[in-house]
Amino acid sequence: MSFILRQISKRVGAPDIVREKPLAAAEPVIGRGSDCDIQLTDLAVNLRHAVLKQAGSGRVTVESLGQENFEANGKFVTSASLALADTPVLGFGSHVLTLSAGDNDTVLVLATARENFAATAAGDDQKRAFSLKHALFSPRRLAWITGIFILLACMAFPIGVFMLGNQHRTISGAAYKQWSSGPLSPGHHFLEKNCESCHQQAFVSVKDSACLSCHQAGLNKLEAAHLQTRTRELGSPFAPDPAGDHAPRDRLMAASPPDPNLARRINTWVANTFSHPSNRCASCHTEHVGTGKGADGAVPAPVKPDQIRRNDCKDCHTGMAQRLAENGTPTTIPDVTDWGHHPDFRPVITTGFRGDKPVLVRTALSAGLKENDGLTFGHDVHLGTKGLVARQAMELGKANGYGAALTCDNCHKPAPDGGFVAIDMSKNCGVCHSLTFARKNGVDQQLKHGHPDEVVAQLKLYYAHQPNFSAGPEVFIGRPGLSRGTPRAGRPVDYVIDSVRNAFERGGTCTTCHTFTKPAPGSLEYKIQPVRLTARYLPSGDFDHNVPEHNKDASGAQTCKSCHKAESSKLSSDVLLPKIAECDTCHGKTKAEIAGAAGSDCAECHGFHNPGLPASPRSRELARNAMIRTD
Amino acid sequence: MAQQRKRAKAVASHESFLRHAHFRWLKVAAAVSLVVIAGFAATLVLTDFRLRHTGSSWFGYTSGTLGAGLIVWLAMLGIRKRAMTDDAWSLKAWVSAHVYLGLSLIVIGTLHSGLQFGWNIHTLAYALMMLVILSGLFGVFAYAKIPPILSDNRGETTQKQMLEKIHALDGRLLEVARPLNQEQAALVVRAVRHTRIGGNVWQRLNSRRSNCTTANAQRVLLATRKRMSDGPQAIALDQVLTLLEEKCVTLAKARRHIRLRSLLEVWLFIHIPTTLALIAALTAHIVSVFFFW
Repeated sequence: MSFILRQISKRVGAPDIVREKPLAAAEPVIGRGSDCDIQLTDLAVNLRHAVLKQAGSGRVTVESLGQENFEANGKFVTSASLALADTPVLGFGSHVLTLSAGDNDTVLVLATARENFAATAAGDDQKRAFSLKHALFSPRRLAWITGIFILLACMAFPIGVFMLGNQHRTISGAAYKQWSSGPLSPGHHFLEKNCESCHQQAFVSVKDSACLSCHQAGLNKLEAAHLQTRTRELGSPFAPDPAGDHAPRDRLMAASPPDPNLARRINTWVANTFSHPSNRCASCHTEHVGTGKGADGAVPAPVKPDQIRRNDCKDCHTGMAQRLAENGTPTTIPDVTDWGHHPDFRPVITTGFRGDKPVLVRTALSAGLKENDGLTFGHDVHLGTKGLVARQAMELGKANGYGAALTCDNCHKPAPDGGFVAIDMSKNCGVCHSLTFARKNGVDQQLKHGHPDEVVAQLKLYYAHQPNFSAGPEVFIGRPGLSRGTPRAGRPVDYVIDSVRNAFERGGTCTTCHTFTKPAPGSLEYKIQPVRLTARYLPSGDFDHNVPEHNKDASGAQTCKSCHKAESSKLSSDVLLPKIAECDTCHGKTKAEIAGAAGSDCAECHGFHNPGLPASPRSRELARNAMIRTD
Repeated sequence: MAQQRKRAKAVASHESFLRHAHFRWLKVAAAVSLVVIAGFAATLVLTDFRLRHTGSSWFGYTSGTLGAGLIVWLAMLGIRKRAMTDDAWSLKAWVSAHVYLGLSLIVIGTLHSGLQFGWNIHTLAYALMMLVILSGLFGVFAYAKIPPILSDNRGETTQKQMLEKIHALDGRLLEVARPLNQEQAALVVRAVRHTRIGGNVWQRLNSRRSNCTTANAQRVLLATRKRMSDGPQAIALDQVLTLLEEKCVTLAKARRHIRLRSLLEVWLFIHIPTTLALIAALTAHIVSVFFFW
């Protein structure tokens, strides 16, 4: 039993070509491959698709050689046993094999191509069917579109706005906002859409001149007013804070030592090399780390620790004499390596007067240091709980703000700046130390305080116009407790001369507190030594009396005594300042040492931008929050 | 001859790009990441843990330069892949480095950003970079997992064969359906003319089709056949049903094939456009930083 293959090729307009050949193989293989016995040129057919086997008389089995099935009598199967008598039809792709029994126990395989078989799928169809590209989009095209869009919107647009000097804040705001690495600080919030006010040149780091165009220090009033107008026009709700140089730049550079940290040194070198110098305003004052909100009040909120790079003062103020010279000699600016090495206070005191001008001298605070403030005054007398002053204060009563022995705050009223309201004679002393010299028609006649020449004139005028007294002149009242001024009866009196002497001479109204200079004989031009009550002993640093802890003793009770030994001070010339050791009880301590440990940051007292002046309240607050030792 | 032997050896010792050269590039990428982490930690300590604009610190400039250089180099794979070589800098080595160094960018980019985000070009560049990396990560998993499944599904048939077979079945269906009535024939014609193998993106990514006209024709005609008594028309219908069933099976296979191929490809539709968008955003980021220095 063998197989005979009869292949029929149909031709258009011509008879079919029929080729017949016996197959040598006992079990012929059907497939697309050239080694197949029955070769079917159709891609839908596997290279070796199936094999034909004879199975007894009149039966043939067909078996798939792979997983691909084939069609047998209209069914898709992987193997089939067929009776030749039924002339079974096999389908392989576009080819049909019809089996029938031939002569001499042969099997005739009639191979034809299906007539209306659809055209073979072209390569394009295949791509369309299997590639995602045709269902989605071309990734390359999308890549170009998004890339170019981003370049235009995020780079070309802002650069264009900058180059064209656009003044329209809505446009420039939209252009620049995408470049901003974060919102500005509350103080600079009004510049949020005005990048070029700081970033003045492309590819050039923010220059100090940009900062100083608003924050210039040392301006006169007119210039400052001009500047404020300019900043208001820019949208600023506040006047700019003037920021002076800590020292001239060359001195600053000379005083600062090389950074011991190699990494930071390299960093600085790189920054300087790439025109991003590390000694600019912006090197310390970091922007674009704000909250995105403007200031609530009239003054911007204090700078947050995040907004400033803190340099350690001690880096420069250690061994400075080796680096900084003044006129050829090493500087005398003292080294302050840490809180524990802070020199003791050197208050500025009044040593005397040159004419009316006080002579101010900065001197070391020693025990029993005296100044010459020109006043005769004893804190001890006034603060005593017994004695005349206390009694007088009680007599004045609560209604007048007294009613008990005097305390510090009867005279020293706290001021908002951390100091005290200046002592005013009429307000603070005048309640007891009356300047009433006469009562005329029930009205008190007051001597004019602070002007000795006017006092003389006052008395002259008063007594000159009253030569005749019906019952003598009214009494010269004088200060409480002293019965002076009773006219001496029986002889004529020059009331003018007498009253002036009563005022100025020893034991008189003025001399209780003041030192006088006698006039030339025959003259009434008494002089009073000028008085200067020191408001700030430590003008370079500062002390804030308004900090609650600063008014308390170790037990937390309200007091002034722990620092100011006023109760035992007999003279106004006593400098009643504590030593810096008094501050040490809290400052410079660690939280582990005492619960109320306070900061030891230089900037709490000293202003960096205004050396020789106290820190501004804003920078003080910053410093206070910044550094409390934890180690 | 020597070259042949070398090639034979290379084929014999086949290893995936992930395992290339005993994970050489994984080690390199890990080392780079560790150095960057150390640099970040050092910067953090030097600034008393108050790092504000990480990008503008020395660490920021260094990591930024490294990151930008890496991004450009990684994107070069798009050009490099067109040339296949098998030396030490073979395409496989290149892909291995691309994957591992690309992953190390997560560390470099994130630490460079210092997690200081906002609605700006800088964060856009970061987000695009992360999108590229994550889509690439999907691609790595797809390339590792899908090819064997794809191969199993396809068996010995080629894509072309799948289509040819469907076309062949369509032809046979039209032929066999001749005796059917108009209504039934219409279903068959719809099954032939309107069956979509691929479909839209979601259909491609999900091999099931709810509205396949072939499946519909099969379902309806099967129900018709059950109500029908045997006869000449029933024989024709049986033939049609057989063909329809075979077409459904073939379609299911082709659609599984499409789904797997789509999964293999789909990440590239994010990876490639986002890469170019990233390069644009990166350029804008760098220019903006130095423009307003």
